[in-house]
Amino acid sequence: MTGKTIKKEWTLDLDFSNPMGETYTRFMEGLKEKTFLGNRCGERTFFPPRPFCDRTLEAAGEWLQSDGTGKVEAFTVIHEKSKGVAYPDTEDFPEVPYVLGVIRINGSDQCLIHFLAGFDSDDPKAWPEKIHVGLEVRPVWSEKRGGHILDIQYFEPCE
Amino acid sequence: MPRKVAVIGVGNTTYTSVRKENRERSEIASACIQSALDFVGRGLSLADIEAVYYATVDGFEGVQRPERSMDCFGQSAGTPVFTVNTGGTAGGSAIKDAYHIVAAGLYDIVLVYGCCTLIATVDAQQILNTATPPLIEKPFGIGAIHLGGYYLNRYQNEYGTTAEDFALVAAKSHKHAVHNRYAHNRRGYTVEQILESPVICHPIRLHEICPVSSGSCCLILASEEKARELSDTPVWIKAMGCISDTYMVGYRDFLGFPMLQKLAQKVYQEAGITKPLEEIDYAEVFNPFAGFEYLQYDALGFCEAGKGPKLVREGVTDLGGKLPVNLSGGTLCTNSGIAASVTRHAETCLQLMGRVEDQRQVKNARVGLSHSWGGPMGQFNTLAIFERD
Repeated sequence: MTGKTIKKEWTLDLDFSNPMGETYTRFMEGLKEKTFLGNRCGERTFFPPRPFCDRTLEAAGEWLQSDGTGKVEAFTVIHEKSKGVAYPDTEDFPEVPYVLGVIRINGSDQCLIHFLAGFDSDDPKAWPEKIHVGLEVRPVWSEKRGGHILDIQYFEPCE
Repeated sequence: MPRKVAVIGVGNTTYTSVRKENRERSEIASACIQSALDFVGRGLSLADIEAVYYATVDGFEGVQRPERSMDCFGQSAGTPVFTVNTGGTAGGSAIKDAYHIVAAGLYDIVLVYGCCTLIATVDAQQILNTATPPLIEKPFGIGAIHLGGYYLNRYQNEYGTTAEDFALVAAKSHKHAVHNRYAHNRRGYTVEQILESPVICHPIRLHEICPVSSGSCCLILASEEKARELSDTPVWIKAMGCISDTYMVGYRDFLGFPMLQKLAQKVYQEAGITKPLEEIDYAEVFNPFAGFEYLQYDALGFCEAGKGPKLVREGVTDLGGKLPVNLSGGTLCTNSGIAASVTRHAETCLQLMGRVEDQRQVKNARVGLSHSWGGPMGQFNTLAIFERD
């Protein structure tokens, strides 16, 4: 055996279009107005909202509104970006290092994944000391908003 | 009454990096299956396999229904091939399905093949990006390592775990992988080397992250009658279960693995285990990021929450300890995609059969545990308890 092999390369370039439903549409519309919408599903509240309760399949009830302030549940500092990551919806994706947080908005029963930034240090090694579970954070809104989760640029510490 | 079912054969290929792989995917599979047939011996051939369970994950192989495009499962003789896809746990789920179908009396000899999923993708993150909730979570490009960062950061925040604690559990895997002929990374990194490696995704360091490996693993399961006929060392499946978590990552608070804990309670009850640390002799848990072992110790009841580093420091989960864990090097040293979830079970069975290298063989291991974790954003866990005669 020579260990030699030819390699066959190919690309799948397929088009899809999926309706996302009224609940998410209304949530995204709210982001344009710097409003972070949620809703109530039985005893639980959700920021972002959910179309139905995943436990009972009951349709969601009352709409709720917040300014997007929340608390950090967990975070990670990304020092190396995965190669060739497709980020189709944003032009200004942060360069490494950056911080991804898990944020509980307004006591929601489901958290939000989003960027954390705006710490009073430029040294990424110091960031883990600046963030902790329970840290209060608020959204920093983009000037240009088009009804997208990245209408919020990132969340920053309240204090 | 369900019939007794045993693992009688384990098949492996050599493991290498995806970049160096020069075998076509069905060549890898045929070599792997042949090695399992040879493992059993006694004239067992492909024609004796009555059904095949193929474990894979959507998208990674670049073809629709990959099992259809590989003529190595006995299809020309009419052998049915069933696909199981629960992401990174597909191997565990496929073993459970094969176990059920043999226990039900429908087949006597079944093969579970964990395919080598990572060789086709030029960049796996492209596929992962199609698996996350598209509006709310996908724009952040999250993959398994980011979740790993969340879990380990939260653990550290809760219990004050140090960088050295994480390096210690990584070094335990690296030390034993050196002796595992089926491990990909056999460099044997020490605690010092691990601590010197850069932080990739806080708090995870480079040498605490699995490689991207090529290679595959399979198991042959048999009914009691066939197992007694074909094997002197059958390893019986005592109990096995799977559990699903939410698709939306935001439901998790990243404090430990509560779904695994729930699954363990159920599987332990089925197996009659009340004191896992005392009753289990060997365990393989899914550790693509070394620190996961600590969260798994907690969820599996090996220790009180947060006391994992103490177990490792005292050698409880090392060779010679009360409950050795991951003496294969684990997923940390060989991550052959879906095959890695079959490998966890294969390694536990090999330990119970007394068939691993002397340097890492647990003496007289009778009861074993194996676990897999994965699926889009860690959505699934599987857990099995094995026992030899």
